Amino acid sequence: MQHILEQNKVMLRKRIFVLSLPLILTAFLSTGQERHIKQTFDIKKSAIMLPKEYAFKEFNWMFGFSFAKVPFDWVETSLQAPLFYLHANYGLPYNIVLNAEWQTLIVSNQFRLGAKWTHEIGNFSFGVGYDQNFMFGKMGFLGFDNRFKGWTSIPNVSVGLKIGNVALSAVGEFPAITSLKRTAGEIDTYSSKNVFIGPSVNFYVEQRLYKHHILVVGLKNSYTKFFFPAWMAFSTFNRRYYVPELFLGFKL
Amino acid sequence: MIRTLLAAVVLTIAVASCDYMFDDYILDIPEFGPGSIHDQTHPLNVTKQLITEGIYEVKQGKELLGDSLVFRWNRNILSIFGKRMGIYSLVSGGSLDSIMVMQGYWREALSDNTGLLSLIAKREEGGMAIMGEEPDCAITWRGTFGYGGGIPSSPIELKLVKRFPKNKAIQKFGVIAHRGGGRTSDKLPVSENTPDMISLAQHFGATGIEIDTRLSKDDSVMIYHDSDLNIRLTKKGPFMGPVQQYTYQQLRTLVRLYHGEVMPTLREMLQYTLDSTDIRFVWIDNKDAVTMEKVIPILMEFNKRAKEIDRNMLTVVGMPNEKMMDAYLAYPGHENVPALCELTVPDVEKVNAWVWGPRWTMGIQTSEVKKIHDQGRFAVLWTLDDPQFMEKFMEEGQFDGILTNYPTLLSYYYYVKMCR
Repeated sequence: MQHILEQNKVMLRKRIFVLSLPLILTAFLSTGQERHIKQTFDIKKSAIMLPKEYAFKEFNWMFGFSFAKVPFDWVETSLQAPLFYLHANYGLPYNIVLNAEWQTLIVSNQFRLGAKWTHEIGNFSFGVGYDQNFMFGKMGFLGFDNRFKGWTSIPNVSVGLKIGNVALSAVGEFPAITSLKRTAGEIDTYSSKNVFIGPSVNFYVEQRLYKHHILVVGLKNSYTKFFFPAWMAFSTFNRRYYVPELFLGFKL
Repeated sequence: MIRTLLAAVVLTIAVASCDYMFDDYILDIPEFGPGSIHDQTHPLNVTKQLITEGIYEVKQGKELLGDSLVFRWNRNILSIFGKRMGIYSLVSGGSLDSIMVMQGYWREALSDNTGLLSLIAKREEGGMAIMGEEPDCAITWRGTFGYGGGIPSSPIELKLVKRFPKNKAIQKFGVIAHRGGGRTSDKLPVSENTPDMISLAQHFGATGIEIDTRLSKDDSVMIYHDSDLNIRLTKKGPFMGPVQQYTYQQLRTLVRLYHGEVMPTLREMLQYTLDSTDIRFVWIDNKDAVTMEKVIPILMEFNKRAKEIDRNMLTVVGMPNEKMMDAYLAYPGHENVPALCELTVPDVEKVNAWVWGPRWTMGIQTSEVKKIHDQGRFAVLWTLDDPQFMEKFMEEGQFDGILTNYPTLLSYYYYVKMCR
């Protein structure tokens, strides 16, 4: 009994340490940043998540990975797998930027295409956009014979701030599933009811890694009823769950 | 620069790794206060209860109740099952002079909405006929429903359109309730895998249950789903970690399940099911292969007891994987132990299981089910919760039972199909 209590105390101490570590680091680094050597590099030109004004035909892209914590109520197991990302932006006239994105877990996929109008005011910028998303998946092993496909509409707003050579962005998304088809063996179901699944607020930090390569670190926070990589959980909970997603991207 | 990004990475990992439960699993079930008309009613006997059972058309109140409802009694509680959002209602009451009065609560199984519901069958709209035990009388229930604890004021009108077939034998299709009746995470008023949940499961229309076993440190067979003590299933406390690192005494005295119950043993669950319910089928889902040799003697004991008291109740041991199958085959005398195999049809044949339990995600598997039936075995699907798939599987599948977290919804589909 004493042994169990000691073990639990150790686990609690570890958690407190992990949670306070970023606070200590951030306090240290905020003075450390002052000592950085000035670079000629301009993060605004190279950033990809920042809602900046693109020149016509300006193109950039990045690849990345995200790691999501799927609610235990949905899957009831600690199953985790990284999502692979490809994201690209293409500048059009009138401050409009086309964006495309592909996310995949192999058994779950999402293609997203949209447009955003952006505007800059000094180091501050913002954007308003709309994306159309097609998701699909297939799983035919481990007791599954299932497929799904669906469409989602995602209006979004974003704000950005350039501080020195760091670009900070926040994106708010408001997705609604507009159609969903699912299959189990030879049984199909279909729904064309528009369902607002819940908002997400995503934060990104972009900074030069080396040469002109950018590292993007993001935290995506979805408060949602549906998360496409976990479609095979067939969750029936009609309430929203917090799904955090750690994102790491590289613009080469 | 790297240090800044490192700080961002560490911060996001710290945030993302926490266990967030913004919502708890508590949902207050509203009640009529003391002094309501319900308190003046006289309970109906079984004959009168059976007269009111059947399919009802919803004339008023469709926005909540949908188009039709199923009325089904169990031990003086009238269960009302609907399709829309898995709505169900548990009401009680009886006769007051020659009118019928029923009051209770409704809940959407697929959401957190709940409220009060009140029904009256007037004298000339079936009340008198029910009192006179006229088996083919017309019945119309009129009443009101409300949201939350508010006084019900939205009108309801229900008309009996079809009674259950007169030659209905004991319901053969298995409505099997997962975790004893449902999940704690579905915000039911009692914890999963407890005797209280089994009692509730009956009113949800369940004819069978599935329960999960874990072994304590000193080899007691406990009923609990997850491998760890956690805030999902237990009250917050200093005790965490694998169930298996705690003794029986520690689990019983130091741990409380989410709604305050003591963690039950397998023996307690089977005893309660045998003595206090009409449940006919118990599926024991062993989470560890080592539990098999502890579970089988208890299972056999209760199957024997059920037979001795002429109680229709069969307990089977489940095999979700090959390790469990090997443990079953290694048990001396396993040939006499009723088993449910979740693997392939050849595996079912290998262990000579009485029941095949495929996963619903594999589809209706018509040819495999036919093969199982030709061999004199049963096929029970698990764990099907999605309403759209549930309706289709009921229409097109040939299964003998379905394991679900929403037995109320499955009961609705079953009785509607039975009455066609």
